[in-house]
Amino acid sequence: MPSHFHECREIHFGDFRASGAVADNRAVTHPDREIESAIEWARSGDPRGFDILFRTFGGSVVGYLRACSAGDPDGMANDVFLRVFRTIHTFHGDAPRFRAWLFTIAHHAMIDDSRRRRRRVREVPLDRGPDGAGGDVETEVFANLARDRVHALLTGLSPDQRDVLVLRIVAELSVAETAAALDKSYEAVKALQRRGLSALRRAISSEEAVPK
Amino acid sequence: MSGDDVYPYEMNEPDDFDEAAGDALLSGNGRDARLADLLGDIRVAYTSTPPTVGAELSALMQAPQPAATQSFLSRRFEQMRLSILAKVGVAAATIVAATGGLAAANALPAPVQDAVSHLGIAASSHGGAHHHARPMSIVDPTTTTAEEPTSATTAPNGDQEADEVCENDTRAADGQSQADEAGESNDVNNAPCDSTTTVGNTTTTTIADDTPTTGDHVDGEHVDGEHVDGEHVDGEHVDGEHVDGEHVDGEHVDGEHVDGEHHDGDTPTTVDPVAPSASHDGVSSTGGSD
Repeated sequence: MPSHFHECREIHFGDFRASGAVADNRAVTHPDREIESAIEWARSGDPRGFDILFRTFGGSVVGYLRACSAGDPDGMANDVFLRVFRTIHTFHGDAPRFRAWLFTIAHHAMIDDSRRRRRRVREVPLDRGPDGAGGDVETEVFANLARDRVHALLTGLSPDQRDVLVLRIVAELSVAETAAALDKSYEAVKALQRRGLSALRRAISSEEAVPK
Repeated sequence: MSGDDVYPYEMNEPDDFDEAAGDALLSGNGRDARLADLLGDIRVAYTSTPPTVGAELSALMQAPQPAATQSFLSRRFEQMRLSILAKVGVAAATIVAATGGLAAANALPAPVQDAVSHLGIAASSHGGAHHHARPMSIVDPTTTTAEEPTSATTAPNGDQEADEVCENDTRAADGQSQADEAGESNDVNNAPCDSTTTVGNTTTTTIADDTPTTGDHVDGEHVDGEHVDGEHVDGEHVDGEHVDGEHVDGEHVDGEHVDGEHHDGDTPTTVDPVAPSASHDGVSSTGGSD
C-alpha cells in the first residue's frame, strides 16, 4: 500500500477526531498557504504544483464521486483534474476558492456522468474499489458491510442533501465553499444539511427498530 | 424549494436539529453518539487515496508548461500593445487630417500656419497677417500673370532665393518693415522675382520684372497689350470713336482727307473738333467721311 495512503488516513481521520474541528484540522494538515503556493506553481506550469494539488484533493474528489454513485470514480477524477490543470491559468483566488472551484467541476462531471448512464445499459462494477482493507478477510468483510450500509443510508437522502453532506463530511468543505460548489445560497446549504442529518437520524432509528 | 431538496414525507416533519447541533456533529462533537458514528463511517468509507493517474493526466502533470502560460501572458501583452498602438495611430491620423484641413483653409494660427506651410500642406503665402490681404486667385495655368514685384509668393519646394526675396517683399508690402529697411526692400522690390506657386493641381507662374506692361490684372478679360475689350489698339490705328477724348476719328483719317478737304503730305492731320481751323475758311471740319 502506498505510503501516502497512511498519510491521508492520518490527516483525515486521526486529526479530525482529535481536534474535533474540520476547519482547524485542515489548517494544521493542509495549510492554505501551502495550497496557495501549489496553486501558483501549477498556474506557472510547475509540475510540483500539480503533484501537491493532486495528492491533497485527489482522495476527496474520488470519495465524493463514489458517494454520488459515479460509474468510474477514478476515471472521472482523472477527467476532473485534467480540466482543472488545463484551465488553472484562468483561476484567480485563494485556497477556499480553489476548493469550491475544484468541487464545482467535480459536481458537474458527476451530473454529466449520471446523464450519460441514464441513456445506456447499467454497469455493475466487479470490484468495490481500491480501498479494501486488504489481507484480512474478516476486516474486509466488515468494511464492505459498513460501506454498503453507509451507501444505503446516503441513497435514501435526496440528491441535494447527499451532495451537501458528502461535501461537508468527505471533502471537508465549509458551508460557504459547499454553497459555491453547488451554486446554492448559504442558507439553502444550511437547510439541506439540517434536513439531511435529520433524515439520517430517522434512518438509524428505523434500523434499530428492525430486528436483525 | 425544489422537489429534490426534501422528500414529500419529510415536508411536515419538524427538524430536530438546530444549526449548532448540526455543526457540532459534523465537527465530531455531537451529542448524538449513533449519528456521530455514522458520520465517521461515511468519512472512512468515502475517503480514499488519490486515484490512479492516467496517461493523459500524467503527461500533463510531469511536463512543465511554461509555454502555455507564457503564451497566454504574451497574448495579453501583445493585445494590449496592439491596442495602444492602434489608438495612438488613430489619434495621430486624426490630428494630421484636422491640421491639414485647417491649413488648407488657412484657418490655423499664424505660427502654426507657417510651420505647416513649410511642410507643403498649405499653399497660402508666408506671413500670418498676409493671408487675409487678398483672396487666393486661381489662374489658368497657361496664362502668365504679371504682377507687381511686391507680390508675395511661396516656393513650395524650398527655392531659398525666391523665398527670401518674397518674404522681404511681403514685409515691404505690408508695411511691417522698418524705415531703415525700406531702401533695401525697395531694391528688392525692383529685383526680378519669378517663382511658382502650387495650389492643388494648378500651377501659377508669377513674373515680376522691370518691363512696363499694359495695364494691370484684368479679371476675366484678355489682356495682351493689343486688345482691350475687343478693341484693337496698336498705337497707330484706332477703330473706335474716342481715343483719349481728344482725337476724333469717327471719320476715316488717313492723312489725305479731312472734312472733305485735301491735304498734301503723308502725315495724318489731327483736327480739333472744337476749335475751328483757320485754314478751313469757316467751314465746319466735321463731315462725313468719304
